[in-house]
Amino acid sequence: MSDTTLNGSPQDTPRSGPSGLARFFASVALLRESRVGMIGAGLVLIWVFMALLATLNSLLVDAGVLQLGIVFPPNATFAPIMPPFSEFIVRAGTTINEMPVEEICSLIASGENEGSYNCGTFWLGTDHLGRDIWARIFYGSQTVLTWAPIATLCAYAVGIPMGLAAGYKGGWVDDLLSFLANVILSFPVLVLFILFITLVGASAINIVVAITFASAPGIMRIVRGLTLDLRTREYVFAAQTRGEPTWWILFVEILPNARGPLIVDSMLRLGYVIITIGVLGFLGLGLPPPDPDWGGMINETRQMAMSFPWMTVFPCLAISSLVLGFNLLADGLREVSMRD
Amino acid sequence: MAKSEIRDESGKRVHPYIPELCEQLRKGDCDRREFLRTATLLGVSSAAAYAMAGSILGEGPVKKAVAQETPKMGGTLRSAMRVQRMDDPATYDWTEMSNQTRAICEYLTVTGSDNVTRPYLAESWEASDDLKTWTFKLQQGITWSNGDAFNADDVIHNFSRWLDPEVGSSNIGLFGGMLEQTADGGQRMRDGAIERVDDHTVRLHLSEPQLAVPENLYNYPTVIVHRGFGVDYEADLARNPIGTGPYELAEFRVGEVCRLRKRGEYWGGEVFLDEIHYIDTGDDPSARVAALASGQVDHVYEVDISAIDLVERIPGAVLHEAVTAQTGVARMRVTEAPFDNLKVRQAVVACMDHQKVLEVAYRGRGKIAENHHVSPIHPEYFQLPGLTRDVEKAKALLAESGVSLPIRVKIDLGQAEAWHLGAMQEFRQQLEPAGIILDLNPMPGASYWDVWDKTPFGFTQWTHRPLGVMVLNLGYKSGVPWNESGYSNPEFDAALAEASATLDVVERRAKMEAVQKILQDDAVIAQPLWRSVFSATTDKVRGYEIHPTFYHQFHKVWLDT
Repeated sequence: MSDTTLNGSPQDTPRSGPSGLARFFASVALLRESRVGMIGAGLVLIWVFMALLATLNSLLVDAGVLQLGIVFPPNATFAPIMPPFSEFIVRAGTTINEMPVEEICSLIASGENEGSYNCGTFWLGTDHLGRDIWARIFYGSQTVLTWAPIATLCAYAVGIPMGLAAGYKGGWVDDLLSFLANVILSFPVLVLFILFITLVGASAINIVVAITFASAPGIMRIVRGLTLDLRTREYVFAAQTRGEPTWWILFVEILPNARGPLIVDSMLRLGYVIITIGVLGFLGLGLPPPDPDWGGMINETRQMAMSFPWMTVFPCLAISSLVLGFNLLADGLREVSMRD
Repeated sequence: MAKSEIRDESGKRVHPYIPELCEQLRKGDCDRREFLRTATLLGVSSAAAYAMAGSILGEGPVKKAVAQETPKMGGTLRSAMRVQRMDDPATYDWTEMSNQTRAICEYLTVTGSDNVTRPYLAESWEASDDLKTWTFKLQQGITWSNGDAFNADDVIHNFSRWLDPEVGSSNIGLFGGMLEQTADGGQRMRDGAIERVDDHTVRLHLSEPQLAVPENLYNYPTVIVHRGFGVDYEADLARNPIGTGPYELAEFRVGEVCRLRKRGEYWGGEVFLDEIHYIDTGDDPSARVAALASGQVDHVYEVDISAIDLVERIPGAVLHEAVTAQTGVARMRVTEAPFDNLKVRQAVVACMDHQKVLEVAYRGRGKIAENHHVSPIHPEYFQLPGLTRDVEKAKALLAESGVSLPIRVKIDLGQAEAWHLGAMQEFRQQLEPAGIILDLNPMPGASYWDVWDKTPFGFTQWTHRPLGVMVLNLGYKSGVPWNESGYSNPEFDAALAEASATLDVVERRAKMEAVQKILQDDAVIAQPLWRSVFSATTDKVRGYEIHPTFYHQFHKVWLDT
């Protein structure tokens, strides 16, 4: 396969190259050749789809189009400790989530529960407070897929300029930044998180700040290494000769050429961040309850894990499948980029 | 006082209130449980009290429900419990510490799991008619493990230590009637507050009437130590384990193990176990249950509500349940916005569905509470009309209060007790339809105790106390240190003072109506439930009864091996 995206072909106009969209589709096409990468992308897309569906679901419920929604409301307490695949059977005359059952559930015409109402199925069972685990996992994906990418982006936004500056400038700038990075990296990451979150309190923003603080030094090191290599390239010398300002050289000449390894790294890092958010939730330092949080779900139910394993196992599976998705995606991207 | 003395068949003086108490039981104004409790506190022996109750209620002699098994001698009972410091029992602040000591040293009285107080080191007691003078007769012929005879000096030594501010014992709060103010504003024992009548009789002279004296003598830090403790030798029980109890300390390592071995002879009859081992399995409640399941221990100090299903599934494990007056309250600080507005507070409590919270957060294992902190198991409990959730009323109250909706409030709560979070998550759901958005702020248990009496809205746990007025005096009277809500209502204080000064249970109960009603209407707390507590043993352990405050009495426990 001829490598048109990297070197540009003589036939194209020398300045513009293929459009951004076309390049994106070209790389997706490349990814299709990696089976591992496709499995990873599939897993991630499933969860992205779920998160979007959860958003749509709450919009429709709020607008009054749906009554109970495609899934149950995530914080409503129905019937404590029901195993997976339990039918949610309610007596006539009661209310669910402030609504009479007659309006939202279907009447059971025959059998032992005749006259009662069937309000759906708890596919993954309910937890110790009677909340639907499937609904909580479903809504929990929103949380993870919002805050993990934001945290990762912030970490890159801080780490990349530091790495570029350290690698390109060298000298005391490099010494200072590398020293700072080493100090932070020498701390056990988990202790760092716990210290930070207990000091400033648990909120989404604070979790992003904590993750940025702990991940930026690692990103800086990668970028610094790449920059050290790239700064001796001819196109950098050319730009210097043209008298381009330093920021131009860093962000227009060096950074785009370092993107390959950085994209792979970002996928792996997203996986770590998801685990970190899970760990913080497990330690009770995650997003404040009752909003569904995968790590928090594991923590709340772990005392009962031996009696009622489904409460703990399903959130664990959710975390690992999403992390696995990102890791496989990273593998796939690496595989593809190695062919260049 | 011109009342003629009443005596029983053996010629012993009976407190003049007893006949009236019998009359109340006959008329059904007090139940059997309250009758037994009050009669025994007033000095009637428990056997006589049970017999009286039996004849009044026409029950006949107490039937033995289970066929009597012959206890087997020997064996080691291994219990999973934290092993904590064992230095000065007067300064104990955890029940676990007292359990380690409980088989070595003993108490003047013992309150059983039936709420009845019975003689122990004290053979009997008598209260004066005005409940200000209490005479305790001590058992004779008891020797300490070092050979000294147990006598009144030991008891006086203990009282002097408890009421000495230098020692720092919490017992000082139990015997307020024996104290006097010092020049610098502190408190110390009043001269003559305790009198040595003879070698085996002591008399307490209180400045105010108090009914619960015998009960207080089984509060866990009131264990009786030898008269040389802290005088002739260092106040450290682990180093100088001198006691009157049936066991002696064989091995002790904090955080690891406490091994107790049967001592040669014991005054109180036969005990069956050769040894009692307390094994520390750490803070994690599931580790204790795992120890029971793996056969590492025979008894678990406490089983968390989250683990009861697990225990029920372990082959050969027995779950023991005790109904208690332990609770948790979502209390609003009445001096802070928006809770300084009575209508807002009333709207908040009107939204609570107590039964649903009990089912969701505590698996239905307990009783529902009614926002006035007096439990149905308290003798003076007055039954007010039941509470029902009323969202419409809450909405109306909020409209009247003038706050703009939706109103957002944040509740602080400790994470040490998992059910608190569950209860408040459920409460959040219940508040939402009325336009109140409850944000939860769970914090580590220790952090919560930094803010528990300051935060505008917090969920605080309160432990079991035998009388309803005790907690109200501790937590809701104007200006008392534990008044976490800042509640101050002269009308309530007056009603409470009147009820507290009333000995007669029926009269006190009548007066409690006003007290409970005022507190309920002022909507200071949203109190969902009274919780049950649990412990577990293997089915080999016989004769064990769980105590509502987890006090261990293993005298009658034996192992069926």
